[in-house]
Amino acid sequence: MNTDSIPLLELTVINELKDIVEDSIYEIYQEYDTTVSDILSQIPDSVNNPDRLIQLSHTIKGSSGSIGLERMRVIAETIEHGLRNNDDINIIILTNQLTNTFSQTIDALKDSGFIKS
Amino acid sequence: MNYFNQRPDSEIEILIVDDDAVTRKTLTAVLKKAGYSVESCENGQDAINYCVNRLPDLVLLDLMMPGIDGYDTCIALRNLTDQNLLPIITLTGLNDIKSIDKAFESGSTDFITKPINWSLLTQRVKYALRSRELFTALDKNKKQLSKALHIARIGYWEYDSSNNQLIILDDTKFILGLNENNYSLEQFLNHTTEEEAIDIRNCIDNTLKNGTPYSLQHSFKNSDGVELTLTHQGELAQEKNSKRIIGTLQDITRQIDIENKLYFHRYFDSESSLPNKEHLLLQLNKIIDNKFYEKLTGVIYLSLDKLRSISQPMGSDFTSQFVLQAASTIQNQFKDIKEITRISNTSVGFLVNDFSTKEQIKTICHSIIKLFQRPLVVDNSEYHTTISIGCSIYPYDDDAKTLLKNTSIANTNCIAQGGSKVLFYTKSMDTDANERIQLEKKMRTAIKNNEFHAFFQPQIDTATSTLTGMEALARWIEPDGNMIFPDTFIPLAEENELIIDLGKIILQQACQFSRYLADKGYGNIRAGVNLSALQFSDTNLIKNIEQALHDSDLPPELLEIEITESIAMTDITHAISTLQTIREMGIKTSMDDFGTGYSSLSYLQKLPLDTLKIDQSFIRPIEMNEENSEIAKTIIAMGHSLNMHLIAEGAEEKYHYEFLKKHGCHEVQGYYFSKPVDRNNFEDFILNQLKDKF
Repeated sequence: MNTDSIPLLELTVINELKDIVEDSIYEIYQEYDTTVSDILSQIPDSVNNPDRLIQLSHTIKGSSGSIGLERMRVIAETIEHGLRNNDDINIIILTNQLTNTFSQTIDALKDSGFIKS
Repeated sequence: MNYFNQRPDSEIEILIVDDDAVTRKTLTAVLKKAGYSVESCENGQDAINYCVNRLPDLVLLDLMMPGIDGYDTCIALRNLTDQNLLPIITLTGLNDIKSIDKAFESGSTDFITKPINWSLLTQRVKYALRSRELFTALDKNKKQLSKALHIARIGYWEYDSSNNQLIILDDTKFILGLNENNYSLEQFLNHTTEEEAIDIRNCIDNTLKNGTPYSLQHSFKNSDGVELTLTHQGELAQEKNSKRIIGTLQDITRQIDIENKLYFHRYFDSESSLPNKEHLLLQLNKIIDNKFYEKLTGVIYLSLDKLRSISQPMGSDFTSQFVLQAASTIQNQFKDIKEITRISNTSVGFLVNDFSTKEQIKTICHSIIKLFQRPLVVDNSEYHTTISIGCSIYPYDDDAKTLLKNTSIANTNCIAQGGSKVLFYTKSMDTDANERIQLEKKMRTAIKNNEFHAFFQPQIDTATSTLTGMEALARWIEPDGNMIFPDTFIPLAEENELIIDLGKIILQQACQFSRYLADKGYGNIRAGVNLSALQFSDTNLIKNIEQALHDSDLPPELLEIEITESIAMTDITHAISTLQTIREMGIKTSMDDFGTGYSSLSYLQKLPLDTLKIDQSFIRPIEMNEENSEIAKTIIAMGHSLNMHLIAEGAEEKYHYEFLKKHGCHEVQGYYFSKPVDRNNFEDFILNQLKDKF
């Protein structure tokens, strides 16, 4: 799927969050990095287990959406809904895309200073 | 009242339940920044376990979780005791309306959609907490109100006239001891009396028609048959064209019971349950308040004179029964006397109303005195009592307390004059009362100073013309030689119980004198000593007699104890046993004033008596030619038939003596031989006068 038009970072959300939690923002994105890396590493073993995949993508969707990582949220949601509705989707391509987008997102967060490099 | 939470936010604990570590972390950071204390769990089971031990102030709960999902977690949290007030905010996807509905059914208070709007989150939490505080306060108020209503035993009800249904809430059901919540009006009214049912129905009809509220008090028999007293209020429900009445019922049975007890305590005598003096004053004040000046009201104070002497040994139960019996005797005869109050242990008071003259009141009083010439039956035994009536009249005095006080003064005067009559209060009685107090004081001193002396009147044996006995009689000789006679001091002594001391003095002196005469060689001269009613019922009587015999070393057969017929008849059982004891000590027993009282032959036969003393009133009228002697002859014959030793009193003339001797009266006493005299004169009588009398 073409996700170029969807921003990696929803900056209004992220800035609003930063205003609220101030310095804790770094811990949140650090947690995101750790948690989602861990989830993504479980995906290759789960490609033939749709229930497990739904759960993993649901978590990524929730984590990403809450903290303004919009492109990650959309892709995770596409996977979750596609699997739930038995839509004709290509899991390999989408999970691949999710992994790549995660790297781009973390880079973007590092670039924006929300994750310390 | 401040409904809002007064605790600092840092003490408010929020529990986050979400499997997603990032969301948990973010929620924690946001809420901590807002100042709350935050805990988190990564699944439903952990959250339930946590809440079992420690209840947070609010729960943020993710719906989609592996294991126990958000819905079941929510239900489980609600099922923990008393968790209804815990705010549970569920976290759900924006487009997931179905899950929001389901969460609500599972007990969720509110929801927040994901992605979470962080700026709004703390506001939503704050609102949920405030709402929780409001509900808590409301719940507390409701519980307090319910508790208060429960304590006050107040319950609500509603009546819908369109379907004739009376609905009572559970509290009301409990108060009324009923089992159902719904009743027809008829079913409800069946628990009251017919008259009350009509009243209640009229009130309800009137309220439905005119909208006026009502309040009434009525009885209510609950399903256990216990009768309650209810205050019952009702008013029209505040709605257009209302057919409904709403109201309260309060069980005031206990209050009424307490009020009644207090009323009883204040106005009734607990022993006899008769009304007391306060109640008499209340009734009297009612009459005075009504200003019935044209008619007279008699305030009557009636003392049961003989009861005064027997009440002490017989105990208060007996006294109460005696007074009750006297009260019912009066009321049975005089239906107009509505109420008899107990004024003291042995007296009652009552009002006689609506008379035009004092004479009419006097007539009533005399009829009452007559009424008591018949014995009262108490505990299956007959008792004779004389009564004294004091009376004051409204409006001669117009203050209730004064009236009652005057009545009491009149009664005391009446007793002092020997009783068995009616005295109306006069101002001079106040002086009399003062004089009596002075006299009483003087008497106490006189006893201490040995101013009381026994005088003796000789008794002559008609067969042998010898002196065989003497009667001891009390005299009061003041230091200046002035002699006071018994009719002045005996009634007073009976009133204040000085008679006991006085009786002991005379008994001692009589025994000693008889001993003295024997020692001097005058022979055995029996001493007769009168006992008053109080002495006769005195528990120390026997001890005192033993003491007198012991002190004087007098053989008991030389002592004769005399009681009057009326003393014996007051309490025949006591008289029999006491006389028996005295007789077993070897002492002679004698009945004084024989023929004047009420005693029947059958009673006389029961009494352990040696001697009958024929009253002087039968002897004095006898003339020289034996005219007017029929009654005396009859009485002597009666004495013979009872095998009694007979002593006649009142022999004033020689022919009295001769008549008595002729008709077989064993001994004679009277002025013909000698008036009562002191010891010296008595000796002189023996030595110098006796021989000249025959």
